[in-house]
Amino acid sequence: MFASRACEARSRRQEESRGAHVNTVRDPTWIVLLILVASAALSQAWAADYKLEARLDPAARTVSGSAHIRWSNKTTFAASDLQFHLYYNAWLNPQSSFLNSNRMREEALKQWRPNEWAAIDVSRLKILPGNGFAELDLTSAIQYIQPDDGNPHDRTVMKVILPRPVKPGETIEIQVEFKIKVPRPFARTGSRGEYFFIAQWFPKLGVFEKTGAWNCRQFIQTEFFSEFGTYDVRLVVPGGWIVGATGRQQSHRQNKDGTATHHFYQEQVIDFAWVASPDFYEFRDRFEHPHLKAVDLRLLLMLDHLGQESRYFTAAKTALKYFGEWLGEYPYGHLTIIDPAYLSNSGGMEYPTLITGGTRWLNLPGSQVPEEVTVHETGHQFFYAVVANNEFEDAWLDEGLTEYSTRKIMREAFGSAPVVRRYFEGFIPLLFEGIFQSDHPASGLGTFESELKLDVMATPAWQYGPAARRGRSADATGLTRVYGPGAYTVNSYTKPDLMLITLERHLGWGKFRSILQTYFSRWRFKHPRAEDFFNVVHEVAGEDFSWFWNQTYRSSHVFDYSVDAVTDLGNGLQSVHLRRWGEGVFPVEVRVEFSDATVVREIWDGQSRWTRFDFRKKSPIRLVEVDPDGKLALDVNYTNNSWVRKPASKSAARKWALKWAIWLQNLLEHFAFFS
Amino acid sequence: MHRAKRLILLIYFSNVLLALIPMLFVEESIQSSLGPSRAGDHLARGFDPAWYAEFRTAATGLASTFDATLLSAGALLKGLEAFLNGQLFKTSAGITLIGLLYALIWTWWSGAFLSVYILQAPLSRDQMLSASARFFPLFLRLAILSGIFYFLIYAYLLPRLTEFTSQQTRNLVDERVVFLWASGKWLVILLCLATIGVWFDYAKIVAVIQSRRSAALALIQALGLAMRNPGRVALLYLSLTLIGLLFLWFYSFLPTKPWEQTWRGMTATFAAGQFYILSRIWVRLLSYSSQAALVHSFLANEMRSEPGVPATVTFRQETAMR
Ligand SMILES: [Zn+2]
Repeated sequence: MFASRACEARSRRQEESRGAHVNTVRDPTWIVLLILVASAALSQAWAADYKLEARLDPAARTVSGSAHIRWSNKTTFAASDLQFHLYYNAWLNPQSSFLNSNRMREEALKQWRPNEWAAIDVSRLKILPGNGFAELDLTSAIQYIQPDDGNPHDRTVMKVILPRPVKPGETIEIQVEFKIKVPRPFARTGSRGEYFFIAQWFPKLGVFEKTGAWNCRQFIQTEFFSEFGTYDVRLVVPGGWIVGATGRQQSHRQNKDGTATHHFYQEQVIDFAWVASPDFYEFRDRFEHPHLKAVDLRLLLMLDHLGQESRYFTAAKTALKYFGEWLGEYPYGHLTIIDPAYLSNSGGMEYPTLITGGTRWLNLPGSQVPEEVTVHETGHQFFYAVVANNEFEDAWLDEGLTEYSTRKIMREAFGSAPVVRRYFEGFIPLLFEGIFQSDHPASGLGTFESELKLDVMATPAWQYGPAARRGRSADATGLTRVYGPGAYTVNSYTKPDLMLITLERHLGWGKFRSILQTYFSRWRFKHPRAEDFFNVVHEVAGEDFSWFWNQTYRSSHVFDYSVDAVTDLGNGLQSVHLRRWGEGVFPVEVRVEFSDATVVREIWDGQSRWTRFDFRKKSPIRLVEVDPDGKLALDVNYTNNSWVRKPASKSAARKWALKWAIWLQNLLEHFAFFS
Repeated sequence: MHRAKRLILLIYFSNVLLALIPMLFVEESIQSSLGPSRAGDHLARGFDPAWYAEFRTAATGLASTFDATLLSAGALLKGLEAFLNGQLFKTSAGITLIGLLYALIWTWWSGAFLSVYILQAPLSRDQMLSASARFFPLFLRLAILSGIFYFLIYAYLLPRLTEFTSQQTRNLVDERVVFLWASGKWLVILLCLATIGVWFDYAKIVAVIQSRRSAALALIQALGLAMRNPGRVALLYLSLTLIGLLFLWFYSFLPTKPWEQTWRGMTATFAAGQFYILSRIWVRLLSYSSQAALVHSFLANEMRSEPGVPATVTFRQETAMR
């Protein structure tokens, strides 16, 4: 990340220095600039570069690999050890922290056969000679540490103490030999049949932070965090198989043993994932835009989804257009879209320059499947791959911003999402025209056992609590489920989305867009924290929003304003009572419409628990709405926001109850079978 | 069929009544949730998903089964799915209770139906009541007995088949192939349900024709008859199923859009729904009558081969006398 900035700085300074050379050759600043250029060039290596070689054995479901890792200490502190993520060990045994805390644990234990557990086994780790280090085998120095929960069964973090510290600015090169056992698909990695989706698969360095400490968390429930680097990867798979991976394919060589070697290369990315299968069909397309860099698109599609390729491409292009126009350019110039295999549990995931979508064999036009997931994951190329926040701590930064943007793009480019229900184990879809998914995503979250109260958003994501057993809510598809999601989902997706919509509507899109733009350009190829985003908001909006973050990010308040009552006091005096049911305070507008069609708008600061607006007017009040434009997207009950003198509730209730009755009549005939 | 006109209406009205009474609770629940809000206007014109999300989290009892997607094909698919996977009895306790009550009403009137078809003559109200009362204890025993078989299908066979198909398909990456496996599973379940259904129907018919009081004997004789004439039994059942599917197919063409708030639209959709319910009752009765005729002919053939017994006459007189 630093190298990237240095690179830009260098070329800028070269321009400057050329000019300087003509005019003032003897100017001492010229020499200073030259030194700066030289030091910038020296630090061009990314913090962690990986040269990986891997060989897939589909029959044994293993990948044998070796990693040549070059790590540079970019901090001002010496590093006395190296810490690595061994993510695959999250499914090594049922006692791992991941399976202990995970809701899916029982399912996994039930379905997996003994040989279907995962493992990553490091057989050798040595320091390579050079950079002031002598060759040294550190295999026996490998330790497994549990910095987060002390669970001795968890082997997802590996540590080696170095013979001497890596000083600031120094580089160390190491060689790691490892072998992974590919599990049944779990948490977006694994294999089903001859479909291998391989992610988080190699020993990956944590991030040595500016504070001089490793951020190398155990793998419990979040996504990931790693350093920018160059990935130079050679993958050996059976001949005839198709491989998709992070980066651009450099070459493809057929080997004598019937295998083929696929070479991929990518600079300036934080991870490398790949997929291999003989079942893919390959399609190519290209995103072009008058002001943005073109992007080559490559789609690997499963057989049962042939015919849906244009839906994937359209969605990816739409996302590249909107994100590009809103934030800035997509820097990599290419994107690989993987259509995941059925039940491979690898859909809807982002990796640098590679995303996974997800669709079904029977899919209806207008269903927004796979469009929505494709837009979301493409969006992650901006918020995750380029602006690479720490997903262990601030998962909401990339998920929330991506979710918020996706919702906005979907609405603008694809319109409201109709409700689609799937029957018979999900095989048969039915689309309901005229019934749309809610535009008020907070609706239904406001019960006493609100999901929004599961945890406080500011809690580090890896520490978010589990799902509440009694929660019940509408999920993203408009359907319902008995158990609500865990605090991780609520606080990384749902709530930040609501928070950002509210902020956008409060500030206006123009200002909010420049917030997004500033945040993106300032934190490109860096690792921002939540406070960095807040600072950008304050700076661009020219206003301190601490009051807002305190109520949203730093608390579990819910927001709920309502029209309580409208009373006629006689003599044309009418009063409107408003109430604040939630703990959250936000200024709201009130719109009062009279029978003579006149409209009055008032502002309520929303501070007190209730308020009253009096109107002296002959014409009776016809309609009252609090927050009529739905600016406060965080409002958990939208129904109580309005009051009408002559509600249609009775006839509406009859109409819908009658539909229900016909369904019941139908059901009764099924019961008659058992007579 | 015209002979059972009164019975069809009786059954239909009990269906309507059993659906309309709980409907009032659901209606009240929806109305109080809407209150004086604009959501009422939205719901009158179409639907309001934000309101629904709130309603759904708060709704209890029967109201919790309300869903905007219970329209035309949605209602059909949901019902059919619930029937095949046994969820019918798990939707809600209230619905299960109402459903069992409706099944009981069918059980009660079955005696009258079958008497009408076997006697080939309309019955007076008193005759209908006495025929129903006479066969009810036996039919109830048969229903309970068949319930044990259905329970075994849902609680024992279905989960094992599901486990089996998921084991067989666990490495498949083509959804279409997995769908074929799943379809196979549902077909097996459907066949098992149908076999039990036909067997017990035949037992009821045999019991009426021969005035049997023993469930076991009726079942044994019905099984014997069906086993000796498997082709005709299957053919008849298949034809009946096809007629049923035809009505289902017609009904599935109703739009999945919420109704417009016009009397015409509401009436048309309501009428279509009622027509479908009537058609289902009719198909069920048709299956009784045609199966009764088939059993009748089986028995007549078998009796005729035994000399000296004027088969048909005996049945008629016996049944009518009681
Ligand atoms: Zn995401």
